[in-house]
Amino acid sequence: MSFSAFNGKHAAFFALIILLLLLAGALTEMRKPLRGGEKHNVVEVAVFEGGFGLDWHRDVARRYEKTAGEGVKVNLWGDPRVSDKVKPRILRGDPPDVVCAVLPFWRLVVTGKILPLNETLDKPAFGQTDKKWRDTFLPCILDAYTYKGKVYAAPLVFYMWVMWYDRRQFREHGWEVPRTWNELLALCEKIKAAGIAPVAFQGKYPNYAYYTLLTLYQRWAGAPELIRLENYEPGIFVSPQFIQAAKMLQDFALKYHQKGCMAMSHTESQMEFVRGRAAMVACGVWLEKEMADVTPKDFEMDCFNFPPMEGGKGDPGVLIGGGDQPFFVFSDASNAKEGMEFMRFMFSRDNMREFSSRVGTLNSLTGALDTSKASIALKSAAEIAGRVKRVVPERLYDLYLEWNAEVLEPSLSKLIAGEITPEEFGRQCEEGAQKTRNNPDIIKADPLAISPEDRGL
Amino acid sequence: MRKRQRFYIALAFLAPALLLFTAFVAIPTLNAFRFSLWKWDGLGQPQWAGLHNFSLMFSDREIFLKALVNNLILMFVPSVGILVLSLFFASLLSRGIRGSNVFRVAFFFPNVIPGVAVAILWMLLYSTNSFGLINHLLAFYGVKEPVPFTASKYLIWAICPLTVWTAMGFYMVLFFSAMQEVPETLYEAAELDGAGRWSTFWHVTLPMTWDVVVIGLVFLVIGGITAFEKIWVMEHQTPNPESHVFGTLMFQKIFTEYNIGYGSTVAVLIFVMVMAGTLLTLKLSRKESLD
Repeated sequence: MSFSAFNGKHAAFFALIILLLLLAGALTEMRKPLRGGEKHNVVEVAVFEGGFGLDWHRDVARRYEKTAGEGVKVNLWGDPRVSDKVKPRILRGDPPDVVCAVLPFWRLVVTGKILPLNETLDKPAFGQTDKKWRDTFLPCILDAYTYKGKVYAAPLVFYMWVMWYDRRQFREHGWEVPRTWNELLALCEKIKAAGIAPVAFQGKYPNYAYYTLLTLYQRWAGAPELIRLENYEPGIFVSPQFIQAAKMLQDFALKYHQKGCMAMSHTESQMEFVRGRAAMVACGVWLEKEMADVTPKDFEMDCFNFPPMEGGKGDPGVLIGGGDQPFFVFSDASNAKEGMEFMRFMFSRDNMREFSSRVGTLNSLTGALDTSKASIALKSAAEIAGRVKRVVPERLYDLYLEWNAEVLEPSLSKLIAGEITPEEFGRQCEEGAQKTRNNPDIIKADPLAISPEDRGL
Repeated sequence: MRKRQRFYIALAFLAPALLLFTAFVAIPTLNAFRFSLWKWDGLGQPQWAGLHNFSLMFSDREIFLKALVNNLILMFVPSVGILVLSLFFASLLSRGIRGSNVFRVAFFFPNVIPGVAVAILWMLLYSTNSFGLINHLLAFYGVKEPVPFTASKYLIWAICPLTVWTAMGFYMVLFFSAMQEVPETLYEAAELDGAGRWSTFWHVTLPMTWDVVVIGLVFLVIGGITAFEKIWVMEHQTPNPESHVFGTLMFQKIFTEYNIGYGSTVAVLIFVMVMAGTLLTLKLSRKESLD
């Protein structure tokens, strides 16, 4: 066909073809996943696919289908970018029934997008009929997901903030795990004298230092003060105890953090640790799993709890930590009720014990851990967790996103680098916090309780 | 062919591009303007806010001003290096030095590497770990402690050399093509008049290629204002006020803080700045090109 023979009809035909192609693409994107049909009672579960994989989740789903009886199906899918896939569905009012993803949890709670689990939490736990499901969780771990007395999520794993070291390196140098803060400082001096950096630090993520700061604050000032901080009480960041904790962190960082660490990401600095160029690193209990692929075979990874301080009021039985990988149910999901039942089943003691054994991590339930085949590090972590008196969750990070990103992290970065004084750091945090408190749009979470038994901690 | 026929044919060919432009450029741009006037977290009901987001942004001095300064640094500092080096090398190549094709490919090569890969490559060069080449060299010359080039405080300055390295080849090829169009007779006349190399460049090459240089300037201005990916990668997706530019600030507001209104306000500001920067560059560089 010559160009001159190309007429209006041909043009219209081409335009139609192109439109059809565009429409086909759009329709493919908009197709809905398997939902509840006439024959099946389908629960859709969307899970963040990270280091733990999805095998355990899928096995649990198959077991639930057998337990729940004929007609119940679990459509479980996962993706590392699950939150990006779920967000447009939340806006469309068509979310999956159960979700585990990094989403603005508190926004979802206050806008009524997710359902409280209280009713289901008061039902008997699967496999432990003498206990309510709620009572099978670690003490206070659900506090971080509570709003106006209602619990909106159940976390799968338990993390806590500890100090990591290599047993073999310690043994070879004759170093011992410190039992007090002064012993830790003395140990750092010995490590330095041996030509090794005492502590690796994830400088590109200053929030790693925030967990250490909170731990030092608790060890120095006691648990009630830490809880007041987590309750965002006015004046808390300029209190003498908080300034003292900031000073201790700054001294520790300037003397013992690895040189050049402020330009290192978490993986880079943790690599320095597993390669033996730094003797210790402060991190959550996920470290072993996170570095598994690059950890040398002769590396005997282990961890210890931050030791108590001479003259400090805090009990080392109080840990900064809490739940992670929370599961929640959407209020406008098509099968929310069955979704909650699936969660109750998934969080049974047997399932959770199997989860920890398979992926090598702590879980959020009490006594649901079989350490007989666990690694050295997991055994130590389980031992620390077994002695826990109270877990204090770090909530401010998720609650006040702007304060965290624009005030806390940059100020903390400067504190560690020695660019501002502890007093200046406290003042910046307090000013930012006051601005946040005055903002009528912020979410005010339920204050954490300072129970009478905490007084002496 | 009848006029009407030609119109339908043109429309048929334009339709896909127009549809895509409308769907992915025009509508989102208009939406950004709309959202900048609302308070919205992306989940609940949007609330009318008028110019509140704009006043909030301009009063947020520490972050807003720092981001502005960082954008200006990225707009001017690498641009000077890029312009000087690319004009210099283009001029050398146009005079026909030996192996000019090899140099052209070698200099252009960094430009075809994706921005994210460039950022990762330079992170390795800058690294304070054992594989950081630059810190190794510094240690060799007696610097005792590794320099944290990519720490937030120094990051914007650390991005300047890699921007020059990446972009220089593109501008060199652009200017080289323009220089190829300069009639040889002008150079011969300049030579007869006794003009030296510098004088020939200043009075012949530059005026004759000025239109293309202006286009290059516009690209550099836009590139400085819309900088994003290198900072985002080198800051591991968590830039702070020390290293923010408007692009990263917009992303953080929308996708980390779920403040769609404020984020859209920053987007509007970027739009206005790109427009203003382009117009200003065109106006300031207005100069009669020679026939």
